[in-house]
Amino acid sequence: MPNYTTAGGFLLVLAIVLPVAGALFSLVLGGRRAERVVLMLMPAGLAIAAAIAIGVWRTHNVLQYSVGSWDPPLGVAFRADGLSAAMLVATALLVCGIGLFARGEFSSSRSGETRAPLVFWTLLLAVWGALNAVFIGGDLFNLYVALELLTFAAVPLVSLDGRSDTIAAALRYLLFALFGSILYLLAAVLFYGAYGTLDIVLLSGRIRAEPVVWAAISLMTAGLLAKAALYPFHLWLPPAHAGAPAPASAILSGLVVKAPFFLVLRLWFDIMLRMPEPAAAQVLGVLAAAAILVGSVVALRQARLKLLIAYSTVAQIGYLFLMFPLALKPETGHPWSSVAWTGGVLQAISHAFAKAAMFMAAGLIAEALGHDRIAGLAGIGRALPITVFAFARGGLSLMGLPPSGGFIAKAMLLTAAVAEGQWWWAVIVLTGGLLAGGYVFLVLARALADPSEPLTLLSSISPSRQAVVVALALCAVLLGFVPLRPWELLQIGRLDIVAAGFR
Amino acid sequence: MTVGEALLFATLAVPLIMLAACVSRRARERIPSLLALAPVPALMAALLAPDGTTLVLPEPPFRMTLAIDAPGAMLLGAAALLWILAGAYASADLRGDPNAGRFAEWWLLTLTGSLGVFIAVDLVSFYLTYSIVSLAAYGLIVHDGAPGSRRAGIIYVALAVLGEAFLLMAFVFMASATPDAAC
Repeated sequence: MPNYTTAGGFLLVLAIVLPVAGALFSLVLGGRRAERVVLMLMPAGLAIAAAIAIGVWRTHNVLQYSVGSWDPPLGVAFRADGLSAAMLVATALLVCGIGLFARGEFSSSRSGETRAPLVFWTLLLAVWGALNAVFIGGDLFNLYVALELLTFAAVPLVSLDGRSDTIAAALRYLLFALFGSILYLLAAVLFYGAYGTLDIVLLSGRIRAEPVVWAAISLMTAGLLAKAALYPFHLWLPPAHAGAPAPASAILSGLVVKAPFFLVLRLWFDIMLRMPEPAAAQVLGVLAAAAILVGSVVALRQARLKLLIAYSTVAQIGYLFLMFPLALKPETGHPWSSVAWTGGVLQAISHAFAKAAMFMAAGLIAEALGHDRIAGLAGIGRALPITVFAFARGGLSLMGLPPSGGFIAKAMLLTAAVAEGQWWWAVIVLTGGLLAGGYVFLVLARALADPSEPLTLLSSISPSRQAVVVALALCAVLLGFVPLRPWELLQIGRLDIVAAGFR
Repeated sequence: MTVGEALLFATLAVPLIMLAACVSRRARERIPSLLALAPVPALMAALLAPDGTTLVLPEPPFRMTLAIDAPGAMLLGAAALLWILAGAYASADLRGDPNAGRFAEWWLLTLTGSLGVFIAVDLVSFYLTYSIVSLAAYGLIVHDGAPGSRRAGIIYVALAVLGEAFLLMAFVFMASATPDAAC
């Protein structure tokens, strides 16, 4: 039997250990040094993510590492395929952007208060480590631990300012997330009881169509949907994401909700490799459509900018789950090679960049104006043109206008819907785009209008923070230049090929 | 790069460079008086570029193919001429307007998209230039800020976005009917 751990497998361990060790260090070192720890780790983490992606790309194979040289099923494994690599790089880029942006808000030298900065910097690293662990976890229990770490790192970010309404939002988030964890753990127990392993690759080879599998998959999916805030489990998201400070909102909306989505992908496409379930995928599609329509319509009616952006996240999460009914069609071949699968993944990545940019732009606007009421935005386009430009670029990606990752993603979903004759999903995609156009325009029209009285800014906004926001928005634009067909990097390490090698 | 290809490139590049120059305050004050110059490369391309000139911009970062044929040249030439005349009028009209810089920015963006639709020959570039021209025109409509023009602007954007959704759908139908045509 060949060695389980591949060359470069240690990078996977570093991707988890480095942020987690950093989080512990910053906790020990205390407030003033936490920020420095993060700023030092950012380039290192980015380099590791890039090295993993290059390793996957060069070898055209997965990177694997078995902890303590105990191969599965005895030990636990880390595994990075093309999808993991893409998510790792996107996460590292976003964390770096958010870290640079947050220096203006949580710099300990700026105010005497050290509690919120210390908590923020520590949890930023904890979230990063947990996300990396989700993306490269190879067995269901590992992934459970990673999800829990993510939840407990993300929830306090909501209530950093300590106001009673944000604490209530954080507790609501915690309640939904823990409900999800219980369902997930229950399902993991069912899998282990039935097949004696939790390793994803082994499990995909062993499961058969029987009641215990249906029960486990339903439980796990429901739990993950609660964490991913797919309609009708979205109730916790808007107050939590809108109440958090701007850099925290960016990471919650951009990355944290993508982790449970990523696990649903693993569950439906990897573990259920041999028995795709198109009927159940249609149910996910219906929830996705409801999320798109309800989220967008409610976003249109919001009076506050951050709440509008948070409701738009509810809608955009719907787009992620539209790929299930479109990609899980047995007659169209392997779901990985379908345009819908690539479109869904691209939507996850480009939404992360666009939404982070929009939340941070909203944060700068709120800082300058002292409020984020949409009705009072007149003149801000003149006062902070670069910030409003970044918001507009992010918004155009959400609407699905080129050049942007959002356009490519939506064009792929539309193409899949038309090619498979499931035209009703195409109608949903287009309607969602129109509604997104509505709420983005609502904000931009106000921001570009002339104010009735001259605008007085409470504080001047540093150009470097505006530059970070623009850079993230431009990342979403750059994703618009990937070719409009299934993406080769994402195909590396597809489990059907791996499974063929086992037989 | 032949002269024809250079002219095709300049058709989009010149207005975009003028737009980018608006970042600096001094250029922003000068540009409104130069609006008539922006479409000149387009007019030259329509007159001088040989029929069938094709320019494939290097990818990455671009994924754009520009080309000109006889009908395209006629449309491009007419549009460029119109933009030149209207630009000369706008420059005169804008004298003394404190918001002239803002008007010029929207003008240049609309112009880029408007000329681009005649020379973009792949679906994505066409959709890109089309959405630029249709959305940027909003800035021209609401320029004076009067309640009537704002109402008109909202109706215009709603219809423009609706039109774009239909256009995208049509492109997807076309692409799925001809699977080999890489869009």
